[in-house]
Amino acid sequence: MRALVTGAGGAIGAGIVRLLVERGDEVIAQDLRPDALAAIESAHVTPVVGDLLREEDRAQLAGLWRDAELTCVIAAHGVDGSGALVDLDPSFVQRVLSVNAATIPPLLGLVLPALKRTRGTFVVIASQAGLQAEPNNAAYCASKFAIVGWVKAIAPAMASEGVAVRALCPGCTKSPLLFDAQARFAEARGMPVEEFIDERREGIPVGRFAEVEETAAAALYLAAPGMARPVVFAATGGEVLY
Amino acid sequence: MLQSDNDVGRILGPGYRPESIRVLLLTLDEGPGDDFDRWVTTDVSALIEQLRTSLSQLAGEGREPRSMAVVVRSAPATSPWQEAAMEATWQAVRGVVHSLTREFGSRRVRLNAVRAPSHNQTELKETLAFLASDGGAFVAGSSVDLGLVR
Repeated sequence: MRALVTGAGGAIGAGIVRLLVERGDEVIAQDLRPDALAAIESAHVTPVVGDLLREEDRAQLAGLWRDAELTCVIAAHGVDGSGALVDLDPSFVQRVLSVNAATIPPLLGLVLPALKRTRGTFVVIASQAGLQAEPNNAAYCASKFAIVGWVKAIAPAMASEGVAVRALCPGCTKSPLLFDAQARFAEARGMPVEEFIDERREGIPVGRFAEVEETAAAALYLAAPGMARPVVFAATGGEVLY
Repeated sequence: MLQSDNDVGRILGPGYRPESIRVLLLTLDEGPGDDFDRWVTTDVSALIEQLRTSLSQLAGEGREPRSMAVVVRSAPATSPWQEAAMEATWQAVRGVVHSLTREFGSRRVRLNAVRAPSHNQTELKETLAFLASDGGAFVAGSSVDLGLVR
């Protein structure tokens, strides 16, 4: 199988790439950061540096599978959007909504012809924050609620064209993005970050944060082509029930 | 497009009293460029910025607890992609309302979200009147979708 993974240089994206390669798949790995892509170098990985906000970079991506099958797309790119409302800068909010949400529909439009040929899958890595909102996280919640809603709305029309569109809503996964967000939450509450993280962890029924490999495995489960899977799937350790 | 009290008064007509409920109206109208980007990125960003100033102002006015509603209005969608963009925008608004309800609490300002088809005037006014009333005082962080089948 050939898969496209966006945000492949991030913790979850890289985890997804590693699992796909272990399984014997070919991967087109896209990210904004060349140094992050270097860390997942492999004979089975085609790295592509580009910005999904730029139409010319998206067009360049499409050229990579023109003559080859593309069976699965996993959109794992995203940015942290945490912060108290009083501290949210309008340009920051716009960037969070642009990157996390507004890049997704054009990405589906780009890969749709190829996925129709293979009856493939399009999986968006959303967040548990797209199912249950969190304080001091309005911009991020807006972006993730938007994309979960969009997936649920577009999925029936895409299914009638033979393409499965789905959203994974992971919970707290050990990653730089998670720990940056926890630091901002802690600051918003006036708490030491270690204390905030301990409190957060205690509130999760399984009692811990997810390992990257667990979230990546959930993404691959959801991305299986030709198999019945939920349109929206929560892997949250029980912190958010769906 | 995001509109505030003056425009809302013109749209909802006599009977709308901004002193009883503050309304931010987000109309999903046709425009240049991509619908999703315009509504979710531009309009929801503007909404968050407007809430940033409004919530602090209302909470600090020291009067009786206030009611505030974000209303999302649209004509019927003309395609599955446009319908999905409308749904994304409504969900983004819900995400903002839920997040801010948990961030601010609701003792000074109760924030709710209402979705109404553009032709629906009476039920929208009734809903806003209810949310502003004593009977609606326990409604906070809720989503009221008037577009669902009766």
